[in-house]
Amino acid sequence: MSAVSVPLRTAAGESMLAQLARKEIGRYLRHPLFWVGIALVALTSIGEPDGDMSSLGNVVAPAAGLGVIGLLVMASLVRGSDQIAESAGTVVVSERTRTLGLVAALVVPFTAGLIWLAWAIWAYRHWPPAPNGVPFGAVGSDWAYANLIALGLLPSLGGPILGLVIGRWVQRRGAAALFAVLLVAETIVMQGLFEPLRYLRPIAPWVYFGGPYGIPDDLDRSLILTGSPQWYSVYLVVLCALGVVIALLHDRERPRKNLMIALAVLTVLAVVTCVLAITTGVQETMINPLPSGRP
Amino acid sequence: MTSYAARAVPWGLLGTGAGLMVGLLLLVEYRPYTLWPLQGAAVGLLAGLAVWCYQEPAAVLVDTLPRRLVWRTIARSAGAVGLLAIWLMAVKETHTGYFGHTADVAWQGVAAVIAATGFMTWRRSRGSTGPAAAASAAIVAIALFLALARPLADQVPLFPYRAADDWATSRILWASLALAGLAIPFVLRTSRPAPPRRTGVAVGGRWGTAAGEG
Repeated sequence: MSAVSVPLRTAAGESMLAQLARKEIGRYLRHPLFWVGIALVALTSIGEPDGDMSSLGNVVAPAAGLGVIGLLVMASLVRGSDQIAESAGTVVVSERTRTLGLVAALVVPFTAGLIWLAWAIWAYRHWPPAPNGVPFGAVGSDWAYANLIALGLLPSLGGPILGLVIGRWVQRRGAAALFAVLLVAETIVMQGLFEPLRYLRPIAPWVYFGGPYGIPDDLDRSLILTGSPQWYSVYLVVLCALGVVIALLHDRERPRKNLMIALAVLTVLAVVTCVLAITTGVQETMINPLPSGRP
Repeated sequence: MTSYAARAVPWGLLGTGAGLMVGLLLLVEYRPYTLWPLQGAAVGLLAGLAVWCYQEPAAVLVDTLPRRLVWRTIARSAGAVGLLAIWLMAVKETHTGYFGHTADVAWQGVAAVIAATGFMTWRRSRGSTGPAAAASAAIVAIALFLALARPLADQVPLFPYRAADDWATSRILWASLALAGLAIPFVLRTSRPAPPRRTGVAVGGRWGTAAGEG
C-alpha cells in the first residue's frame, strides 16, 4: 500500500490538502452532535449570567458543549475519514494529509468558541460581578478575560484535538465516549476542591482560578485560587499544538523526524509554561472580605 | 442463546465501561456535594454502554438466518442486564452519597437503559445495522453536558442535586423516558413496514469520490 503525499493538485489547481480541508470543515459543520452542543451552549447563555461571577460562571457551558462534545465529534470524523479511505481501496491521500484536513476543521468549533467569547466579554461588562463575587481586590479584568479565554474559548480547540488524538491512536469501539467521561472525572477532581491538589492543579487541562469555594464559616465565600490564568492560556495553546503533533505522528509511512523534534520542543514548552502558570500570578489563596450572603 | 450472546456482545468494552462507572459512583460517595456531576456522567455512561449490546454490523447476513430480531434482541440484552445488575449493586453500595435518594438514582440508570434499548431496537427494526457509535456518543455527550452545565435545572431537573431539589419531577421525567423507550419501537414498528437494511459505509460518499479523483 503506497501513499501519495501532498502536493497533489486537482484539475482546478487546488491542492489536495485544501480540498480535503474544505470537505472536513463541511463534515464538521454538518455533524448533528456539533449542533446539539451549539444549542446547549446557546441555551445556557440566554439571559443574565450568575450575579456573583457574571459570565465567568458560564465557562463550563462552552467547555462541555464545544470541548467535550467536540472530542466526540472529532473522534467520529476521524472514524468516518478512515472508513472512506478504506472504502476507496487504493489509498490516494496519506493519513497525515487526512489528519491535516481534520485539523483544518477545527476552525468550526473555534469560530463558535470565539462567538461565545464575544458574548461572554460583553456580558461581563454589561453585568459585572457583585462585590462579594470574583474577581475582587487587586485582581482585575485582565484576570477575568484570561479565564474566559482559557476556560471558554480554548476548550473549543482542545476538546476536538483530543478527539483527533484518540481517533488516531485508540481505534477501539467506544473509546472516545469512555475518554470523554474520564476527562470529565479528572477535570472535576482537579478543580481545587481538594486542598492537596490546589497548588498543582494547573497541570490539568481545565481548572478554575476562582469561585465560591467557601471557608469554614461561610461555605459559599468567593475565593481566588493560586496561579496565573494568563500563563495557563499559553500552556493550553501549547498542549493543543502538542496534540496535533501527536496525531500526525500516527502515520508511520512518512518521515517523522521533524515531528519528533517538534514533539520534544513542544513538550519542553509545555513544562515551562505549566510551571509559569503555577508559580506566577496569585500565590496565596485570596478570600473575598465580603460574605457570600447565603446561609 | 447463551453462545450467541457470548459472541455478539462486546463484553470487553462493557467490562471496561462498567469499571469506570463504578469508579464514578465511588467518587460521588466520597464527596457527594462537590463531585455530584459524576452521578449524571455515570448514568450517561451506563446508557451509552448499553447501546453497544445491540450493534449488528452483520445484520444483512443474520437477517437471512432463522433467528429473528426479537430473539437476537433478547439474547443481546444479556449485556444490558449485566450492566444494570452492576449499576444497581454499585448504587446500593454507595447509597450514602445520594442525599437519601438512592432509589431515584437507581431508577435513573434503569430508565436510561430502557430508553437506549428501545431506541436501538427501533432503529434496527427500521433497517439500520445499529448506529451504536453515534447513539453512544450522543447519549454520553448530552448526559455530560446536562450533568456539568445543568441548563434549566429548575424547570427540567434530570439530575437533581441535594435533598431539597425537585426529585419528584425528576422521577416523572425519567419514567416518561423509560415509557417512550418501551412504546416507541412497538408504535413505529406497526405503523410502517421496515425498509431494506442499509449496508456499507454511509458517510461522506462524495468525499471518497473526490479523493479518488485526485
